[in-house]
Amino acid sequence: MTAQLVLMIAGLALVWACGAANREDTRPGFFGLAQWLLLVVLASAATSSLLHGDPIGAPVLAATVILAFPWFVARRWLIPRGHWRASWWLVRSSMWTWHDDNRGGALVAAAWAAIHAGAPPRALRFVEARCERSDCGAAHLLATGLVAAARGDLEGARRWMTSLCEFEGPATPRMARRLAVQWIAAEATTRGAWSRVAALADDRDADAATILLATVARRLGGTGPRPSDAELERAWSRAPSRQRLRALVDRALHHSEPVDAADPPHATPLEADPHRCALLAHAALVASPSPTARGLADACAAWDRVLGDAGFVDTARRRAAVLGARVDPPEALSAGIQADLVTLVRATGLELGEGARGDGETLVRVRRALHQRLLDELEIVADALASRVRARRILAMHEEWREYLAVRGAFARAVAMTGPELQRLGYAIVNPPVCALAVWLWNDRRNRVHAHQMFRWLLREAELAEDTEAIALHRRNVECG
Amino acid sequence: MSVTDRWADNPFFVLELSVAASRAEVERAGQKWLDMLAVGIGRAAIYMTPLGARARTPELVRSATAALRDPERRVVHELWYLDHAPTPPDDDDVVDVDDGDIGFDAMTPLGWARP
Repeated sequence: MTAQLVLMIAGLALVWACGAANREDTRPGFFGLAQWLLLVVLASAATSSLLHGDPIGAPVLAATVILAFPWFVARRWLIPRGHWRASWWLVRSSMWTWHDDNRGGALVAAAWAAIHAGAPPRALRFVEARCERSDCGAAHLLATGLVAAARGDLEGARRWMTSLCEFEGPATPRMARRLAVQWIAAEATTRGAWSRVAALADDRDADAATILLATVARRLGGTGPRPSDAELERAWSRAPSRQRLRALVDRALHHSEPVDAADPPHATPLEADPHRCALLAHAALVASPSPTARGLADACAAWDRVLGDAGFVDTARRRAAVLGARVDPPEALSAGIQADLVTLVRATGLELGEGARGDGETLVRVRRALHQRLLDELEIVADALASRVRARRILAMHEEWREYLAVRGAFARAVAMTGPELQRLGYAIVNPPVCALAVWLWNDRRNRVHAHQMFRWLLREAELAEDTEAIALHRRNVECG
Repeated sequence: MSVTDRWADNPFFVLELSVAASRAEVERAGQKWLDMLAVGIGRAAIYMTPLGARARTPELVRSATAALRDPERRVVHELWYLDHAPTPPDDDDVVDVDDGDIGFDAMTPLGWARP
């Protein structure tokens, strides 16, 4: 009996080890087959023992079932109860759900359980320490995001999750991506960011919960076609934890269709004095919690009228002379306007877009100054990355990814603020350092999952910038796998 | 010069003077506010700007008086002076269309937050 018990325990340990050893990109893979073969043998032996009245059979059979469905058990029982270490240990052997990255999957399970356990620092440190190892797959981005959320850094968590959702190609761990999409939908719903939630409806990894939230978002936010009551009920009936989401669905059902309101006329101050009118428009713009591109264009137009008014310029210059000032008032005013508006656009992320033929001088100057400042900032971020890669200073994988995201984010913001005009110049700045980082990761550090995603992004941006040389290079890089 | 210097700390607002104020009026206003602040008169502690109400301090009053003594700085502050400026709306009046808390936590039902 003791020999039988030892044999069964050894068998269970071997099952776990087979799962943990699994590094296959496809399922079931060699270790997966070995694991399931052992599970079948163990389950048969345990059942046979049980039928012969041997008490060893019951616990071995239970352990076999647990090891056969580690993610299900972890998600159903261990994670909600906050057993972070047990969740990590069990999911580490998952070869079905997390066949493509069970190291990362185990970290996701641990981080998720840690949230339910009240974010104990030990658990968060445990996850972070493992995320720093370079052999992690992409799922560690989800774990890092969950740790950031557990620490209260929702902005950081959003960034990590979004970067995982942008993973393309076969190297993306499906379960991690599906969970990240659901997390983003739930978090955006809580904030009432309906357009963000609705956009997730067509995501390839949107599960029933995400689809329900996206349907609610379309109804409450008025984004996309308005779903009918039946559509809402259908989405709700398919969602997990649906009873707890009922209040949200009821709110959506009782939400009446908004009456199409005409675009409210923009409040342009009616003043006879163009200087006062421009000051009012400027004050309204800088004091506004959510300034718009139209408000900015209106303020610029108002300043154009002031600076083009010969009477104002003459009076201001005479006044300066009376006071004994050597400063040229129109020039000082123009510099102040430009400084304020560039700062405002940088601080609020206002998207000015591409310049148009009818733009006034002030707007053109603001756009030009912003363009230059954004390129300078982009160069600083890109240079920092380039020098580190040249010096071969290795960072933990999630830190490497964070640096890549910083360059990418700066580039995307710059393009969004001043339009595609910046695309080509900005691309010429970010391409060399990001490419060098990806090549380094691919060739020397064997981290092909992350490198591949970087090449994909570089290729996409090269196509937008119409950089033929870079397109050819990154096409070859992407084709490498 | 930042938007704060231009408006929030504009000497004309700090001293509650118009751009037509003479050098003597500037000095008198500076002394008046310093005296009122020293005595602790409540009204003296606040002044209005196009960006909302600001706290008036003796340092700010001294710096405003000095700025208006300097012709180079005064001429620039005059260009940014706005009398009877409308005060910006309170934060409570602002309706956040997107990114507003909807009073429903979707994270907990899906297990992403601790119940």
